[in-house]
Amino acid sequence: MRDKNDFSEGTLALKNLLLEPPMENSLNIRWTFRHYFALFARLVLAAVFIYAAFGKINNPLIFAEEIRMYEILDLSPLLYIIAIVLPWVELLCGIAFITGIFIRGASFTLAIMNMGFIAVIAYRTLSIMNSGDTSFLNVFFDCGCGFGPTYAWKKLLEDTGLLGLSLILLFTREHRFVLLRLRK
Amino acid sequence: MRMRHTIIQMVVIWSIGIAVAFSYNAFSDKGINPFIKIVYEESMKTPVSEEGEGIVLIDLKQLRELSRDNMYILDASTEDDYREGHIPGAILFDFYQFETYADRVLPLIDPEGDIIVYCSSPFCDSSSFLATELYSMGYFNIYLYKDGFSNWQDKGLPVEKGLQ
Repeated sequence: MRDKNDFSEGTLALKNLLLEPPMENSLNIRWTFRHYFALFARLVLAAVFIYAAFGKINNPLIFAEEIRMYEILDLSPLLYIIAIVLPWVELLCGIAFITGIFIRGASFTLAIMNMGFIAVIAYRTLSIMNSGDTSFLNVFFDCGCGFGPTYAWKKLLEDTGLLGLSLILLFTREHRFVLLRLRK
Repeated sequence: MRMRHTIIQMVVIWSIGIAVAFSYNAFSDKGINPFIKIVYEESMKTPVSEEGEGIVLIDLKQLRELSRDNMYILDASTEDDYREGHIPGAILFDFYQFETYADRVLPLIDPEGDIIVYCSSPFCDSSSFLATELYSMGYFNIYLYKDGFSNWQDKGLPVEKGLQ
């Protein structure tokens, strides 16, 4: 007769990846500043990226046009594929942060994406400055980030902040209110 | 080990993201075919008549330079917006009721003619969608007046009201 705990090796590996150790009772353990900060960072990132994603998911054509404005990619299948996929990845990362599933994978994804955003926004800012003799603080455009047109310096600052939060989440171990916990 | 798990998680997130994105894109009304051949041209240096030369983005000045014969102006916004005001001679083609308006409007249009598409403001999206949709149906002389009706109105140009 098969024992209930008789996991096959594959199942066990999956279980190790996802579930171990069992969830602690988050409320009975002392919360330190790090726990609060990690939760705060998760909620901020989740709110920002879920909001941004919803604006773009239903308008891939418009989002593609916004990406095209950067003059890095021409209209091509790649551009459309980015416009289709990127908002969904943002949404999934947001969900990951809220539920606490795959927090590290999500923060790594967002860290990489934010570095990319900062790079392309800086590139576009520079090209606008060169073409129009505008000073850095006056560069104003719609970055296609999902929040409408804004000053480039503000956007760069925001994205640097988001990048910082993602990196902190990537390296922190003090998570509370998570559905799945990785083995440390 | 931590790094490996992080990478695995990231791959899982991206795989789910890609799968969901393409499935959603396939079923959504606003889904796009990434392999469609659309080329936006910023200028009007070439007359666009041959297949595949693309949708042409035009501004107000270029719109007024277009010749008037065999030209159709389509207003892609809703009936209410259209009734409140539209470019004189424009035909209502509400993109979000595509089937209805396709039956009503397309028979009136000569596929060889120039089609100008606009909607209420630079920020509305129905004109881009309509332009893309018509282009993929084989209407190749499409001009997209992206600044839209608000720009037309701001310049004090004549406005027509009501349904024709």
